[in-house]
Amino acid sequence: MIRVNGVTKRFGEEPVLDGIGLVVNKEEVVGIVGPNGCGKTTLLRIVAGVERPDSGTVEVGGRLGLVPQDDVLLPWATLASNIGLGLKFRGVRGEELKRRVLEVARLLGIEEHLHKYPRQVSGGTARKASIARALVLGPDVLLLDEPYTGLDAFSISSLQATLKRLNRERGITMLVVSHQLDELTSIADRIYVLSHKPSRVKAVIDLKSVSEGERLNAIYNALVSERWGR
Amino acid sequence: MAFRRTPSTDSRLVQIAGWPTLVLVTVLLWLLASSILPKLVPTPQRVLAYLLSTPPMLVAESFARTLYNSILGFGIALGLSVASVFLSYLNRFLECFVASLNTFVQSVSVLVWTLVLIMIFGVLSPIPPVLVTTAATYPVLLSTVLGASKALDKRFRELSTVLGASKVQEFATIILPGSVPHIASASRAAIGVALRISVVAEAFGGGGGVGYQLMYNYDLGIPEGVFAWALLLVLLMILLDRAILKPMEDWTKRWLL
Repeated sequence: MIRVNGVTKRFGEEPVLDGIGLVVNKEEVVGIVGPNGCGKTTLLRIVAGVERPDSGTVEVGGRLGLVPQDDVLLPWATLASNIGLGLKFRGVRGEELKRRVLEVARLLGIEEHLHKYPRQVSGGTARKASIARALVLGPDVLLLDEPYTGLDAFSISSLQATLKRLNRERGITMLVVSHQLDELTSIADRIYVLSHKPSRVKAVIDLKSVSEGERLNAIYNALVSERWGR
Repeated sequence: MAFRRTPSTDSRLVQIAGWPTLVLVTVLLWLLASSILPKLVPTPQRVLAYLLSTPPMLVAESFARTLYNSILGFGIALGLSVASVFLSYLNRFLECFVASLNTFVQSVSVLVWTLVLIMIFGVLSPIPPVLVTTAATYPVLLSTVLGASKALDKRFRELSTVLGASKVQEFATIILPGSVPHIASASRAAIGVALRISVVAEAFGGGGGVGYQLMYNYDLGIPEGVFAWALLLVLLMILLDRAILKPMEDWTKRWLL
C-alpha cells in the first residue's frame, strides 16, 4: 500500500533523510518514532506528496488523506466548511456536500460542532475535524502527524478509539508519526525507529511478535541504543 | 503581605478623555492662530456662522460627490489589487511583472496622475477625481494584498495541494479569505487616502465636491469658507472611520483571535 525505497532529503547543506525504506501493507497501522528533529514529519510529507525527495521512490496504492500536525483548519471557516473543503475542490455542492460532511462528522462524533469555528472548539474536536476532512474524501491510506500532541487524556482516549474503529471497520491503512509511545503501541502493527539526523531506519519492531508488556520496552531499547550508540 | 486585585477603572476614562482633549487643544490653537493672524485665520464663531448660512443641499451634494469619487476610486483600486495579486499568483513571470508594477505605481506622484488625467479627460470631467483616487490607493492596497498573500501560513497552501485544489480554487478559498483582515486594515487607510486625494483632484477640476468648494472659497478669498469645508471634511472622515471602517476592520480580525 505504501512502499518507500531509499528516500533521501536535504534542506540546503543539511542532510535530513538518508536512504529511508519502509513498507506499509494494506489495512496495516505502522508507527514512526525517533528523536526530535530526525525528519519524521519530512518523511510523512514526502509520502503525502507535499515535499519531493532528492532521491529514492515512494509508491502509494490508493487515495491518500493527510492529517497534519497542527490540524491546519481554516480559522475563517466553520468546521463544516473545513471538513467539506476537499469535496468542494472536487465540485461536490449543495445537499450532497452537506450529507457527506454530516456522515463523516457523525462517525467521529463531532456533528454538534459543525456550525462552530475552529477557535470555538477543543483541541480534541479540532483534531477530529482535521481527520474528518481527510476521511470525507474516502481515503485508503491515512497519514497522521503527531495526532495525540496537545490533547488531554480524555481526548487521546477518544481519538484512539476512533482510529482503531476506522482501521478495523473501514480497513483504512495508517502511517502514524508520534512521540506518544503508549498510544502508538496500542494501535500499531509495526514501529519504525528512526535514528538522529541524517535519519536512517534504526530498527523495525513487529509488535505482533512482542508480548503486550514488552512492547514499550522494545521501542525504548531501540531509541536508547540510538541515543547512546549502544 | 496580602494583595487585593481589583479591576482597572481608569482605562475607559482615559479612552473617553482623548477626544474632548483633542477638540479642546484644536480650538485653543485655532483661537490663538486667529488672534495672531485675524485676516487669514477666521475665528471659530465666523466659521460656524458661515456653516449655518451654507445651503444644506450644497453640503449634501458636495459630500455625495466626494464620497462617490472616493468610494468608486477605492473600489476600482481594490478590484485591480485583487486581480493583480491573482495574476502574480499564476506563474513566476506574472509575479515578477506585478512586483515591477508595484514599484512603478509606488513611485508616481498623485500630482502627476492628477495633471495627466485632467489633460486627458478635461477640467469638467467627473472621471479624473475617481481615477486619481484609484491611482493613489492602488499602490497601498496592492502592497498590502501582495504582502498578506505571501505571509499567509504556508501550511494552508500545502493543505490545498493535498486536497487537490486548482490554482483558482486555492486563490478563492485560501489566499483571498486569508488576506481579508489585512485587506480590511489597508482599506481603512486607503479610504482615508482616497478621501484626501479625491478632494485634491476635485480642487483642480470643476466637477463639484468638497475639494471644488474648498478651492472656490480660496479663489474668492473667503477664509471662513475654506475652514468650514475643511472642518466638514475632517468630521466626515472621522465619522466614516469610527462608524464604518474601524468596526469593519475589527469584525474581519475576529476570526483570527
